[in-house]
Amino acid sequence: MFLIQASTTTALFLGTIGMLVLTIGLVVFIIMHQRRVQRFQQKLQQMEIEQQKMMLNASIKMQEEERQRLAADLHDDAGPLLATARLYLNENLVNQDKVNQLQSIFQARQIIDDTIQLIRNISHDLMPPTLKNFGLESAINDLFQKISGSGTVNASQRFHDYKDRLKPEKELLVFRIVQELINNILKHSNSSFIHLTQNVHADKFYLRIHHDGRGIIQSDFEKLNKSNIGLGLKNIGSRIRLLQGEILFEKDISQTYYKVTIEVPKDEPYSS
Amino acid sequence: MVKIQNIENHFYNILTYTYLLPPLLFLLFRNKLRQEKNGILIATYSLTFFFLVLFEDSITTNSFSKRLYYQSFTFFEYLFFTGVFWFAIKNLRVRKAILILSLLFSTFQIIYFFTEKFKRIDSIPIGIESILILIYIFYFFFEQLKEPKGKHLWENYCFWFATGILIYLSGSFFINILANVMEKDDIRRYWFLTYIADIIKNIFLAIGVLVMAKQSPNDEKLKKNLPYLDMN
Repeated sequence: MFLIQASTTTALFLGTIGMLVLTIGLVVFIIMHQRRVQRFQQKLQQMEIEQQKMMLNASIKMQEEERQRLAADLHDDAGPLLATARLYLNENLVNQDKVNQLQSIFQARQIIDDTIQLIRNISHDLMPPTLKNFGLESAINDLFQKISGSGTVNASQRFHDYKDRLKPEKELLVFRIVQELINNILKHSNSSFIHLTQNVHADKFYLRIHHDGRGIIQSDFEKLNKSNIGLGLKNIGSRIRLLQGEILFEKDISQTYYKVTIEVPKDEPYSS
Repeated sequence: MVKIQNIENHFYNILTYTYLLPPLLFLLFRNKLRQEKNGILIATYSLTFFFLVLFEDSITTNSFSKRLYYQSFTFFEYLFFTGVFWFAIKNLRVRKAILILSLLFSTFQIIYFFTEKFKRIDSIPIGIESILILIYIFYFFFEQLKEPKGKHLWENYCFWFATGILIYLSGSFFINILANVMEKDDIRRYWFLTYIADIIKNIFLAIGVLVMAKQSPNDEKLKKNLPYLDMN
């Protein structure tokens, strides 16, 4: 009887200790294994990120260089050439009768003026001079003035604290993101107003766009980002990644506005 | 013997009140955890078992109530623990299997309740419950290993729940199995071991609730520390 009792107690102790050792062993094994896998994955991910960053950087840099070159060509070559053509036209029309002469000259001038204006517009679209010369605030102001000028959408902006400008390459990326967002709002949202607010906090630069039309929330953005459609949103995503920032699409608590908030690390101050 | 009884009483008291840790933490972080099914489940489990343990003596007055109490204890424990892994496991087939196993186990418990002679505790249902929960835990860990995420395992609240439950089941498995064949004195002498395992489990569940509260969606990260960005 005593022996049976002793063996039961031994079984209890050995069994419990065995189970606990197995349990702890299992948990430790799982943690160790997961850490090993994680380290490997991290290394792989790091390499992938580096590669992606390099490719994205190269492609954006190339695009921007191309745009700048195009802008310079159009502005410096096409503009003066057309202007000279206008002068020649004026000279050759001297021998015609007065009424026709005046009419032709007027029409030719009109067309050439339009062309010059068109080229200027293309050039500005490719590399906004305001952005290059006066910075993000002025460029966004210009963009919003043009939108408001159309009369259908009331666009306004307010920069609370932009004493320390972002680096030019960052400004350009942020401007392109804003341009893309505004384009989307104008194209799809049917909103009557757009308002942009800027502020800074700690080492972060923030931009928020409000609009009262149809919009998207974060889950829609992530879904569209993964799908085959929504190239513009993908560009926004990759620019945000390049800036090492964050973007948040949401609906206002009042349910009347949609908000897009962009957060970008500020780096060290850049003086213009 | 008196000394042992005293130690056991201390462990019993500590155990009873450690059951309050998860619901209290849940209450503290209720705004964050309102939507977390597993948080609600663990808080409800702990609160239910706090009262069950607290009023054990007043409930178990006769043989039938004792039987009903222990079987209900096993049943609800199985139900809550299974619930945790039901929500944590992603594989639909396994979830279906859990459902079928749970139905089988519940049927077995009903049959056991009406057919088997009750001695001290319901060792066999406890044994089956432990094995089933252990299987769910192993599968949960397997799933975690199969699809490693970017973060550490201990940053997943379910890891703490699983480890706590694992320690509790391992620490109390043999004593529960042998409870009906051991001497009454031996049971009294060693029963406090289950209290220790139970206390560890409750602490781990509380840590799990804390980890759950710390986890916040990505957009929350952007929402905090935002400067003034409104329209006016």
